[in-house]
Amino acid sequence: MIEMLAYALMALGVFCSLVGGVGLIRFPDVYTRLHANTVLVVGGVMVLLLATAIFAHTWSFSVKAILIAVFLFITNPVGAHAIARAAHRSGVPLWKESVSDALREEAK
Amino acid sequence: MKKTSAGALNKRLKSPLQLNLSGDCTEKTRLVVAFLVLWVAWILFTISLDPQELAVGALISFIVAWLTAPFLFRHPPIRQLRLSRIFNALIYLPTYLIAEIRAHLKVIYLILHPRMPIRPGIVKVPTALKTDFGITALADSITMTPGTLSVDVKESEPALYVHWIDVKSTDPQTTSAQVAKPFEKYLSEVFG
Repeated sequence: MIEMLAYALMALGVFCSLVGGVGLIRFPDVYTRLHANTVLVVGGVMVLLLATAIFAHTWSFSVKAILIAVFLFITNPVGAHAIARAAHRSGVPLWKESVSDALREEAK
Repeated sequence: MKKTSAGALNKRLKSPLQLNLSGDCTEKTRLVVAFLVLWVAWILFTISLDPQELAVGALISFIVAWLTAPFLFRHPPIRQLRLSRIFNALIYLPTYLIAEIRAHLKVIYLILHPRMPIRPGIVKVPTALKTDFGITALADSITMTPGTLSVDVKESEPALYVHWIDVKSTDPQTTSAQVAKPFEKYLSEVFG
């Protein structure tokens, strides 16, 4: 039963990783690609780590897998925010069909 | 049968407990907190109580804590420990998880749609949260849900600039209600 849950989580994680990878290629600019990156990290890697933690034979292995997931949970939003902020500050343009840029209007 | 609404329960839980964290954090407090967090993480990673491992971990934790302590939090995350904070933090977890799953489905749909119907843009999202920890928690929650990404913070207002993959409105009131409100109503109780 618990193994079925782990298999289901693995399938979900692999699916999210694939979709996130496709999104990284298909999306047009830095900012939209970071959204695909979030799908990849949260839906892909973290779910896979959770499945690993369930599958693990020793509890020390599970603790490590969950700890890595927690670190990703803490560092991923900070990293994504830093990349987006640095990109905007250094003048990376938004996609040409973007609707609004409140941050640029504010700076003027 | 007695009915208790969440609001009434909130009010009842508002009375402070014993712990009172007034005043700012000193350099020493920050160093000790950083050291303990790092050391516990080290012990969990190595999973051994071998004296050599503990000693090396303590040494490295101390060096990292000493280097990073000046950049850490200046105020304690909360001033008073109240039951309402714990209560709201516990409700926040499932709320956040549901928001996360819904956002994932939305972005997966956008990625796989042949014509990719996205309307990206940066919008301004005013927030009612005032503390550093509250704003950080909100910005992190927004960034962690796919579809919204915090690009910058304006601390004076306070407001977040959020890159939204499917802009529904650029009006600050509407963006606040759609992007920040689901998280904000619990976070303001937890950190407010």
